[in-house]
Amino acid sequence: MFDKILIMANILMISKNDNILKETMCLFSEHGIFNTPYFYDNDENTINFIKENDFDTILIDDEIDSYPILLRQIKNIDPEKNIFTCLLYTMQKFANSDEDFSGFVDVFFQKPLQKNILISTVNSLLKIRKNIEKFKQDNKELNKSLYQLDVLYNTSFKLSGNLDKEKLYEIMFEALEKTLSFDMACALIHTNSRKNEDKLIIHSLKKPDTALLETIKQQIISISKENSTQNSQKDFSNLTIEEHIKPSYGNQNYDIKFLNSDKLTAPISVKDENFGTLLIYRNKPFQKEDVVCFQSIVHQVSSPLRAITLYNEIKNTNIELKKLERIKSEFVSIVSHELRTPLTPINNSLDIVLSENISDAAKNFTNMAKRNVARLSRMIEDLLDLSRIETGKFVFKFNKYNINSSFDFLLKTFKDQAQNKDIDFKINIEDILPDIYADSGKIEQILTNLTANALKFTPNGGKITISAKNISINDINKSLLINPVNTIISAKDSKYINISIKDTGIGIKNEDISKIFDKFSQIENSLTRNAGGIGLGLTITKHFIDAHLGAILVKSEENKGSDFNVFLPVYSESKAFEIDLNTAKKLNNSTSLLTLKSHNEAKCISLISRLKNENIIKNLKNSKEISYKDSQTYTYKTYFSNMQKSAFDFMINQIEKLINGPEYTACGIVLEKAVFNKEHDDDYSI
Amino acid sequence: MTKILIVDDEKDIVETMAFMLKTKGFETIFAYDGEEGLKLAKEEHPDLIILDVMMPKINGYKICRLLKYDAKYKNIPIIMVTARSQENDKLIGEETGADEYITKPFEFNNILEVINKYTNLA
Repeated sequence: MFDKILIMANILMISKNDNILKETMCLFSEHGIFNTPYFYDNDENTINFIKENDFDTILIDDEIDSYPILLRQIKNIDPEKNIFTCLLYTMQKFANSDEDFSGFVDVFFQKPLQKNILISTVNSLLKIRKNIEKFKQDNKELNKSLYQLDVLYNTSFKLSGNLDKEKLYEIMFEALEKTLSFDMACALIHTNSRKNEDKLIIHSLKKPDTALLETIKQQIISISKENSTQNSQKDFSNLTIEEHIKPSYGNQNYDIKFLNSDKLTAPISVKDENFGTLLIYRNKPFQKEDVVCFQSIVHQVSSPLRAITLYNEIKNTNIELKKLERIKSEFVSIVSHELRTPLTPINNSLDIVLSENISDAAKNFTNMAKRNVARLSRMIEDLLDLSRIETGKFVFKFNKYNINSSFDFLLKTFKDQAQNKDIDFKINIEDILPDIYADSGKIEQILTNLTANALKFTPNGGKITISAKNISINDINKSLLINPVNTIISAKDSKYINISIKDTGIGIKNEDISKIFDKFSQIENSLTRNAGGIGLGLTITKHFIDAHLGAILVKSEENKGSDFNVFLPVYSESKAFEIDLNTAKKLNNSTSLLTLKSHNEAKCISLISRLKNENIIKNLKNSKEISYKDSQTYTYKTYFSNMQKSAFDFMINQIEKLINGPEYTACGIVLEKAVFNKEHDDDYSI
Repeated sequence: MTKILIVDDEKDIVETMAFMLKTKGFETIFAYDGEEGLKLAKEEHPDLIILDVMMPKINGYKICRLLKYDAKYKNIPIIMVTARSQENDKLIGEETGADEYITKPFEFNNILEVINKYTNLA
């Protein structure tokens, strides 16, 4: 009828009455309750006896005079454990006592003892004790699980956004240590699956001795080989070992006996990809929830590992690509410069020959040589322009500009060539054209490139018409734009001038129209090798148009002709600022010349001092600042160098604020790349 | 006779230019680096200087500045010659005090026009 647990109970009976001791002992034993009779000698011995043994219930006879003190002492031995105390009392004594028993006597039994009351009460006490123990245990486990959960949560928090492998393993070991309090944790990490770069990281309380270390190494290697086929053929002879030993244990070592500890192991892998193997040891056996916790930590670490690996691969490839791209651009730049140098003496020499008295044939061929020098020179310039575009070194000098003079230039440049091909070449300016904000040289290059193309692709006897008119943004069919530049759509000022270069040439296939602005497109298609050129003209043209915040539109019909339309925004103060800012943003900002223009001198000066105070502009050594003022505009110029991207953005932002602020101030910023030889670094004066 | 100093490290450029200038009736002296150029400018006091930018020892800007800030030489017209890649050279050149600016590769006639502009004034 009694629970098994009762057998495990441990009851102490204290008395100086042999009869009571015998009586209770027999009674408890009869009911299978384990008990110890203790013949009271003195308080000290009794307490010591209790301390040495592990009793959960103590019965004490009131014949012992000092029982109130004794009971209090018993209660105080281990308040955590909460030993049940029972007093065997006689009515007479009890009635006369003014002792307050609350707090140190749990149950009272009146003497003479009623056997069934005693047994059933003790029985109940033991049941309560068992429940308390279970509750305590549950509570402890709950707390442990809560703690583990907390660590897991924190770990996932730490892992998110981490793209550093070393850091990731650090986080993993920290989480394992906190949740599982291991004695030793080993991770065999495959740094690079192709190379034999493996690492064994050991975190341990005490240092493992040589024999133990070797055994553990072999163990984890063999586990790793079982885990993944990619490891089974691997040679781990180059394994580097990284030991992290807790300093608190001084020179103590773990020896080979340590292997008797409980252990847990798991592969660190995502799908088929294995990143390593984890092995942890603990003297205290692992519980079920420890295993769960271990697995979730390993899982938590594995997923980001894959991301990190991919990220690193992409990053390295990207760095490599950028490096190649830079080398290529530099190469193009250097080669072009070198190619160009001999052209001047060649040209000069031809001029000298032409100035001599030579035959018509010689004159003719020398002129041919001169034409070809010019052609070669143009191609080299194109290459240089391309490398400038790619390295962000293009320098634009924007000014208020009237495009009419460019048309005169066009007519002068191409009249003869058109005549030679018997082409009807006309320039038709329909409206009075307003000023634009432009780099005149670049505008001429745009028009020259497009006109040269028209001439190139139009057969003898054809027709080329260049026309220009005013247009509103709403009249432009935006779906046809080659570069649907967002700026043209969002622009406040909707007035543009539209320049059309229309020919009766070979035309472009519809599907090729978008491709013709890609670099080297002509070479790639090789459709028109006979037309010559290296196919950079349109790439450069488009880049220039973009820089002016303009747009280009191409209408073409195969074998009938093409119509290239360039749209350039009409000058206004805000447009000019927009263009300057756009240029400044794209500039490779190492050493640059900053020019600030503003109608509001005070604002301009305060901005400059702010930029300086916050170390955003650092004047170069030997660099002067200059500022001057004409009737309307205040101008400030200085060189600055090595501006950080963030500082640069801040500056742009400040200047943007200046112009968009409540007191409207016209302000312009021009940043120009300063190109200098290393040896002339000290020459930054204006 | 009008004396023109040509400073350029490209010997062929110097030679062809000198030849052409001679045929137009100019006297030419020349230097192949900045140091020599500066020395000649001071010793010979030419009527005009054609100055390349990128040169060994002392670059064109420095020479230009040294001469233009010196009362003895500041009246000598200086024509700066530079590669088109260094576009803001023009800006620096102008502010260094150069009188004219010509980009390479150039036509002889262009440079002759400029030379005439300054030498006829004198």
